Amino acid sequence: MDTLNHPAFQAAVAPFFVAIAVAFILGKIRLLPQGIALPLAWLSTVWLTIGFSFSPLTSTRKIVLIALITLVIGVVLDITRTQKKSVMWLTSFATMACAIWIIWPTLQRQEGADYWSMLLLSSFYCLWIVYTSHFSAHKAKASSVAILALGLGTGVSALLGATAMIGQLGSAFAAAAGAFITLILLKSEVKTGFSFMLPASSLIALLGVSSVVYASLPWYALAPLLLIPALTQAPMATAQHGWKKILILALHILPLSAVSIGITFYVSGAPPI
Amino acid sequence: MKKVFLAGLFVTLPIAASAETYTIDPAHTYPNFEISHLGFSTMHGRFNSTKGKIEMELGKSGSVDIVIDASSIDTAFKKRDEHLRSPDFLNTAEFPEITYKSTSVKFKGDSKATVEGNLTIMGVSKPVTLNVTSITCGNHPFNKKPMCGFDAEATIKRSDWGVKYGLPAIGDEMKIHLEAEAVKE
Repeated sequence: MDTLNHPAFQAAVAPFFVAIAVAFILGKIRLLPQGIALPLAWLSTVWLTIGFSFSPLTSTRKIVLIALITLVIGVVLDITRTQKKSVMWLTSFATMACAIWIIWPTLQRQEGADYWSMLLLSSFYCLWIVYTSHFSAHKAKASSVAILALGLGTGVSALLGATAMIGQLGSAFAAAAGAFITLILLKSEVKTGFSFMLPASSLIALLGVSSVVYASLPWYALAPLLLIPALTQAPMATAQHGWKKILILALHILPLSAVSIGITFYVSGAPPI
Repeated sequence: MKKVFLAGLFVTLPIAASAETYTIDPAHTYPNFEISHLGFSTMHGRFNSTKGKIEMELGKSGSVDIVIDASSIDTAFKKRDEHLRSPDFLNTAEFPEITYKSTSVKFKGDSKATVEGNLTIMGVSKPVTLNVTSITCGNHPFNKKPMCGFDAEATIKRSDWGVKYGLPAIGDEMKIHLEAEAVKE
């Protein structure tokens, strides 16, 4: 019981092993898209931390609800092999609308410049992260490293910025993406797709926005993370193969997570444990 | 119809006239709490901003309506206070107020009472019984305004309101103390 309550087990060990197990099994039986292992692993962290209660509907519970919806949409998009640009725009704008829904209780109390900066920054952050992430959705190495970096940047920054719960939820994505990278390095055939990237990019973006609005994470701490999805398309990363590609991607992308974490640490200091 | 109205007025008038309304004095009212920190020590904290009203006919009947500014939590450590305001604990950006509304007040003489009511934290309302250990009324020694002071306490489990972060390491059971002063309107 103590193990299940340990934050490191909830945010790292559990999602890592759930992702490995589900991705491995789905890789063999091909019943559902393999990418679904990532949101399922994240939901294991939800189950261990905040649970699946939806009343009252707080911002974090709204994110869990959105997770279930994006999980279904991602699976449908993968099964129907939809790759239209209009769908990418639609899901990006839908995430933006979700962000406004999540921050609405606080947004409606803001006035003037505070109202517009909160509205526009939150909307742009979600729109950009989700739209640019779609381009690497079907590239297992690029999408896994991108989610590892986004999860680490968001999770650790949120932890330092005074909300351990969002920190755990962000870090769980990094752990689950790490499981996909492990399978790739073990020479397993791994597919990601929209069932992997849509829930991951949407929820990481929404967790980032929640950390800024509901905790005290400075918005500029998340700014370096905006470059991560786009960097997976850079020529130096696409030219390589196998483990070299993962290494080069990691060397280019993970420093952005480190910058984000560094800014938060500089501003907020160590968490109050 | 007119006779019924007049009869009703005569019945209710003496009660309404004898119940007095007191306004909480925010400068002398600090709800505070104590909670186990990892089982090693007892941590204390308080809320610096409280408003509300108390209606009371001393020794007979009354009602309590208190609103606490959740973001005014103060444990004498800024970083921890920010954490307590975050969604991990009180989620003050989404739920800025903690409220307590009484449903019944039972006096034990003129100086003690038991107040039953609903405590709302983060949108969740649960019944809580306040044990009022002291009620002292009189005139303020300097400005001569009539006022009352109250000492009350209760014990709650924070998990009942969905505040589950850090359980079971950080204590579930919280002792709440409410030392309040209220000035007669």
